[in-house]
Amino acid sequence: MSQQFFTISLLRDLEYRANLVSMMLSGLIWTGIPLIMFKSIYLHANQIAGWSWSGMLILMGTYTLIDAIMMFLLINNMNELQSDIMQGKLDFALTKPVDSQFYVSFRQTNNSQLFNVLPGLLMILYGLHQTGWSIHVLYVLGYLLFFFTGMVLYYSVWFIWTTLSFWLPNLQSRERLFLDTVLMARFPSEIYKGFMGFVFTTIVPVAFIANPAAKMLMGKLSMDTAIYVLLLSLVMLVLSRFIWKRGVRAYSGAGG
Amino acid sequence: MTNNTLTRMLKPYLRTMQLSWQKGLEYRFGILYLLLEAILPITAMVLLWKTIYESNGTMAGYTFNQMVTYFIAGRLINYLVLYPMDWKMHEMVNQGTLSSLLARPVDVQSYYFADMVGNRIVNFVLGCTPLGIIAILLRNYISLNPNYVELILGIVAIMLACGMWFLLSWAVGCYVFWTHNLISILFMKELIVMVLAGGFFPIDILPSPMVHIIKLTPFPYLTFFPIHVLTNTVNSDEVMNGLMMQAIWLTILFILGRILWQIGMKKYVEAGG
Repeated sequence: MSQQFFTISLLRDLEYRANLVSMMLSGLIWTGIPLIMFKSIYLHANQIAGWSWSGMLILMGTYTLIDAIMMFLLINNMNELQSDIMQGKLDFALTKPVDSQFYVSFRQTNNSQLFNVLPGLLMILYGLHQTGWSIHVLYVLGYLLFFFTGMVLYYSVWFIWTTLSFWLPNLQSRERLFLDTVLMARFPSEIYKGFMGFVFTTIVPVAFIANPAAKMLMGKLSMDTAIYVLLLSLVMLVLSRFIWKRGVRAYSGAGG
Repeated sequence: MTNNTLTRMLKPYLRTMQLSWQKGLEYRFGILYLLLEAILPITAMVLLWKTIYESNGTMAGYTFNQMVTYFIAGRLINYLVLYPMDWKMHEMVNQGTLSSLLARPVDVQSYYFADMVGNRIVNFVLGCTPLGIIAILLRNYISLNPNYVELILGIVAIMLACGMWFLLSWAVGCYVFWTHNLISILFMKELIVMVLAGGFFPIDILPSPMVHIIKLTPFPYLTFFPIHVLTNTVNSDEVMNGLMMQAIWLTILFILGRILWQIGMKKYVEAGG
């Protein structure tokens, strides 16, 4: 009898392990597909909007890394926040003795998302290897700074988008639309020109999530863009705060 | 027939139309979402390729307009072809609905085939609206050589691709009889099949040895081939060849699916399902 129990639990563990392996594999495939596409394009072209293959690797690696960390922090919480707002169950979160925006943003993590950190790091390291490791210490520090502003922008856009549920509760597929949009962050920001450029660098600034950090690491970030991105991430963060406060007030005012 | 009786006859239909219109207005954000969901990825792709083509004349034989047309036609064909038979099989075994289906005097595969066909019609109507809008917005970039023969052959190729996708998903879905946790496998399969089918980008931009190998598999006949027939970018010999390959793969996948189902069924019944 006990042996049978042992066999069953062992089988279950193995099944979980298989699950773990396949989750890692699907993460690898998910990050690998755009890589294959870009590698194929570079077979026919030397550069895309001034980006060499090594630069593109660093850009996509940076995007993958930021995306993995932010998904790890936010995916469960944005989901829950949206349903709390829509079903009027936010009171529990509002009565917590911590800052309510902080609480609803980071209450629980989704650990399996961290798998994608590894392919992200590998892409960056391989890209750097291809450039012959010609990096300055200052560039690395700058990289960390703009990696952080990238995370702030990722957070602010998603949080504001979710918080809009206070006023537009009917939009069911809100999350998927964000996830579709944020995928555009892995492309060079140079492709967003004209009206689209205005949208993706100002209103929904996904173009500045991964691009500034990657350019910084290669020493190609202009001073204008650097200052703009620093200010923009600050403004977006303050805006997320402002919209959250307004939303909570509307929610409490409605007796929710 | 007097005007009065005509009005009375049409009244219920007009009322239904009015109701569905009101319902549609209620879900206007849903429609907005459908539009954005269709427009955003295509916009990103168009902008990316536009930049790439600024420093390159052609890419693996595609001009910029042909590339844009490829992506839009690819979206349309994916709307029409994708049917999650494997996910449905996963659901039906794990939620136990298979047993009640088996008790009915229907062939399970034919039952789902009929469901798939009905579903295609809904998808056609739902998918064509946003794609039509995109096509109008991007009309300057689209290169089509309208030709009735090619159009009919394109529709035939899409219909065969629908059948192939259904039978392929069926064969993959039969794996559910051997494992209960299929979800991550199905997710991976979807991504890999989409790449090999040319659903993410045209497969012929890949290195040529890889293209040769991929063309021996059934996958390019799911998306890549129908796109080329529909956009009239292959010659008639290649079209006939491709249609024949589709028919051959359809037969192979059908037999494979039947065999796997039989073996799986035996296992399922023995397990007392």
